[in-house]
Order: sequence, then C-alpha cells, then structure tokens
Amino acid sequence: MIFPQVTRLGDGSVSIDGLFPLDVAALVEVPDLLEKPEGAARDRLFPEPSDDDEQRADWERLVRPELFALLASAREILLRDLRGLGPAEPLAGVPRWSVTVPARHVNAWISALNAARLTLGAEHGIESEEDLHPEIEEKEGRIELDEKTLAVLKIGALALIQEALILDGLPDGERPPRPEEEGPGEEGAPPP
Amino acid sequence: MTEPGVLEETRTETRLAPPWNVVVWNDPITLMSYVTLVFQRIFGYPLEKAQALMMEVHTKGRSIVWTGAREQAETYVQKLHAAQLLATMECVT
Repeated sequence: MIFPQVTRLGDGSVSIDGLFPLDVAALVEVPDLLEKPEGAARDRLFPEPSDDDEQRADWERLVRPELFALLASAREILLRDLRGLGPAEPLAGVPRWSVTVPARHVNAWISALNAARLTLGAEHGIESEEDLHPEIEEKEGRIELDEKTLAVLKIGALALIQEALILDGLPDGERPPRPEEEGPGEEGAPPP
Repeated sequence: MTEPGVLEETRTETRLAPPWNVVVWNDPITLMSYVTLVFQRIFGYPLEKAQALMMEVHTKGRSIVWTGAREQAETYVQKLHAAQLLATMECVT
C-alpha cells in the first residue's frame, strides 16, 4: 500500500491518511512558506507574462493583486484544515497522522501544496531534475542532511500528498487517469 | 490634384490584429498530472490533448498551448499563473 492514502468519504470530504513524520513536518510548514513569498520564490510564483515592459507594468498593477489574493486564500484554507491534523494508528512502530479535507477545499489544497513545493525549490536553487535526486551521505551510521537535501525531501513528501489528492481526491470526471489506467508507453507523474 | 477624366481611387486596407501564442515552460517541480489537470480545466482540452501538450512541455522545455486574440491570451496566462504554471505570451509575427 502506498502512503499517504487519500479516500473520498460519503459526504464528499477527503481523508488523508498514513502521513509519516516527514509528511507532517512538510505540511505544517506550508502556511509559513506561503505567507509572504519574497525573492526567488516570489519571482517563481508570480512570473512575468511577457518581455513587454508596458504589459509587465499593467500586470503588476492589475493582475498580481488578484493572484496574491488567490494564493492567500488557498493558504488560509489549508491552515484552517490543518487544525484537524491528528495522530492515527502507528505503522510498525512509526507514528502516523491523518487529516480530513472538506470537498470544496481540495482544489485549494492542491494549489497550496504546489505553491509550497515551488517555493521550497526556488528558495533552495532547485533548477533541474538532477537537483531533485541528491546523493544522501551516511557518516558513522548517521545520515546527515543539508538544508537543500531536506528541502528536496519535503518537496517529495508534498508531491505524494498533492498527487494523491489529484488522483483520488477529485470527483471522477475531473481527475486525470492513474498511471496504471493509461495505455502502454505513456508516462504518469514522475517520482518525487 | 486629380487630372480631368481620371477617377481617383481610394484603397482601404484592413489589417487583422496579429495572433498571440500562449507558451507554457517546463519546470522540474510541477507534477505532470497537475499540468495535465490545469490544461484540461483552463482550455477545456480532452485528456489526450492535455497530456500531449504536457509531454511537449516536459520533453522540449516549452509548448505553445493556445493561439488567438491578445485579450483572450492574457486571460489564459492569468489563469495559468493562478495555477502557478510558468506561462508567457508572445505575438506571432
């Protein structure tokens, strides 16, 4: 069984189960990441629409405030729902958590998780697929993680939750097919 | 001055506004399934077309996902930015 697991409940809400400590650490960081994106994160979340100076100025004045508001709304929804994050049955002695997301909040979660992953990537200079697969070194039986590697692990943890919400949290008519539902030779989502 | 007996000819030329491309650029972090979902939702593309465009973004680094009038292109870029995709628009010359 793959964790985290997303299940649609009878009332349309979505239960996210099997969250491990790294998942929870990454999740609770999302609201802080999205509170006030600056620098590279701001540039990535709110890119320029073209190389035309006049259009860029109009975009900053007319469009960006709305984009900021949308992200703030998604962040607020996730922050509120995370108050319901609670412990669940441990697996092989490893603690796990779960959280329930109302049906009307699922898209906000997908958006907030995506924005948080992009923010982590921008803040830590993750610019290529190679950057997403760092070598993790073990020294004297201990794994030492630098900040960039830890960010990559969080990006991966949030990817699993985001992917599960896309594939299992949306109504049937809206979700893309799972990789196993696709024909041979087609690709699904990349591994985190 | 017009010479006697020669009709003055007036020619009116109507130029259509040039079309604009909406371009989506690859980034290593955004999930393929998410990009496909966004293309389906914003443009109303069927799954197969949305996936083909997503794969073009992924393999070639960019894809022209729509071409048409400037105002509509701006609306699409705004929606793509709301979904946090790297999208730009460029005039077709």
